[in-house]
Amino acid sequence: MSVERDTPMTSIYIQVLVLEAIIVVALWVFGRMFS
Amino acid sequence: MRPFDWFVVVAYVGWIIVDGLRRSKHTDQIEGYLLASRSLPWWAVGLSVMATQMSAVTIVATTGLAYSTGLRFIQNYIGLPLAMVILSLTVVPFFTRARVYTAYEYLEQRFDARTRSLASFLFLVGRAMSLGVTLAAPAVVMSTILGWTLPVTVLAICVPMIAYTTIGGVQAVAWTDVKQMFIVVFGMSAAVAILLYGIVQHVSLGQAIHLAGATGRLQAIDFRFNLTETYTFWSGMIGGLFLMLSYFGCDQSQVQRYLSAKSIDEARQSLMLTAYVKIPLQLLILVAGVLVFVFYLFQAPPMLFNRVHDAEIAAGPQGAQYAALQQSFDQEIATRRDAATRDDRAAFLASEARVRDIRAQAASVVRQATGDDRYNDVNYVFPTFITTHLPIGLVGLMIAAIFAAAMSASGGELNSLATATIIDFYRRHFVTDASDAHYLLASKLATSFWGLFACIVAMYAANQGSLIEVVNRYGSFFYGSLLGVFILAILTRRATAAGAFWGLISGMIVVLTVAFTLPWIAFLWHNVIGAAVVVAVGMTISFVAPRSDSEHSDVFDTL
Repeated sequence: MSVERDTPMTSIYIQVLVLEAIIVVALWVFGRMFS
Repeated sequence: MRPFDWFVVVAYVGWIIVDGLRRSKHTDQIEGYLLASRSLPWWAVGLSVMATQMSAVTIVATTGLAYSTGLRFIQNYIGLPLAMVILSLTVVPFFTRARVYTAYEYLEQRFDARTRSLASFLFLVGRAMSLGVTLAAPAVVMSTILGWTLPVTVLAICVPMIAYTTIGGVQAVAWTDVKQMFIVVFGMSAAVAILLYGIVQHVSLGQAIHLAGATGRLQAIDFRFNLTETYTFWSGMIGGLFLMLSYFGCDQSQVQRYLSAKSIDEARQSLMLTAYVKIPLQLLILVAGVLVFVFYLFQAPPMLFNRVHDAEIAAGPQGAQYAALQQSFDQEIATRRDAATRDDRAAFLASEARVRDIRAQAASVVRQATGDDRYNDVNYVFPTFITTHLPIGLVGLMIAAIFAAAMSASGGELNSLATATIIDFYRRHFVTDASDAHYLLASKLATSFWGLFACIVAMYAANQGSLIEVVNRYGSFFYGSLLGVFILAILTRRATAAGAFWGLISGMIVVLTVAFTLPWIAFLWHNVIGAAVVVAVGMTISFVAPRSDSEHSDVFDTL
């Protein structure tokens, strides 16, 4: 396998950031609901 | 701890070490020893990245923090996924194509030897001290819990860790880390399941959540912008982003993990694994801490979880006062349990406040009696729960996981210290043209040396609370500045060696000044300040001073 193998991963980056946004919003809502 | 639990501890620790060594290939060559011949799969690298960051302190201190304050510590990691994306796009392809052993080696390719040496020196000093603390903090807790002396506990962690890191190099570290991550996830999940089972014997799950929420422990996200609050969404998103960029992008203990990956793609995938898993994993640990709090609403907790001074205080002049506090505590715990069972929110919160007050008074008595101003019991909450409420076998597994976490985090750091010492100093400045076998032997000696150094620091630091704090803060003094230098190196063509070198020094001076003259600024912001100053000063000097002939600005075109 080439060390240089370098394929774009834009969709994974977007998935990671969307998942994080969902977790942050979910935690915020959860905290508000049960405080 | 029963004999079977001890058997589990010894068997588990023995297995991860033997198997880690068995999987180590080509460790008779320097590239195999330090970088696994750049052959590790992405999932092993990703798990190793997380295990190196997650020390035993993460398990014992984070659960204790969640027990006391709730989920808000999760905000420390909010910047991590974005940092992983940025690093995948920037430093990963640069470092991998440059075929470097250390992150700082790249700074010489881009700037000059003195910038590389300064950056590597800052890493060595900071990491060597923090390695001692990484070992000392769990050793103090485990020595109390297991009834061992501190030197014996430190040696129990250090001796196997130094042995497998010295013999197997980065591969032994990585394969040990892989098992470690599985065992931590399994152990924490099992602890959460047992906690939930214990709680629903007394109240419904919904009521348990309401009880935790009533005390504010479920408020994970704080959107207020406040420079003095350590953990807010913004300090995590901005300060934490810079911290994670520095730690994962400029700290050799992390860079070395993904330099050992098979390709750029695999290195990126390893960081993406961290981006996906880190926050949920950290949440699992924090939730365990919150559940321990709810669990102890229905089971009598000790007044103080760190009971190392109990006998001494009972026999001393404060014995009567301490006994009276214990009596008040027992009564108040009964009142709190009654209010929690009835779901009487007002009575529960009032009782919880009184319990907190009694615990604070008891801790104050301990401080007066022992002269230990830094006494607290936060780190003892989860180990106490483990050893008193988990079933046989699982106790051993969790204690083994804490030991293995201490070893895996330290092993990665030890391995990176040896690499920076040999590659950035010994081979660069002292013995520049020796054989591969010579550098391999030197790397093994350096690993042993740093291991021994860490043991000594650990034994000394364990009794120096203020030293631990200084070392913990040290990282924030230089991480942001290091990040600034790498920003100059990777994102700008115009930056010169003089700009990078003096920018790095300026960044550190400014951060130190801010830290000591404006102590109200939370430490996460130091990373932002350091990086900004280095870039500003570095670019200013780069525009004013001409580029020297020895600089390699064309490195941009070749990478």
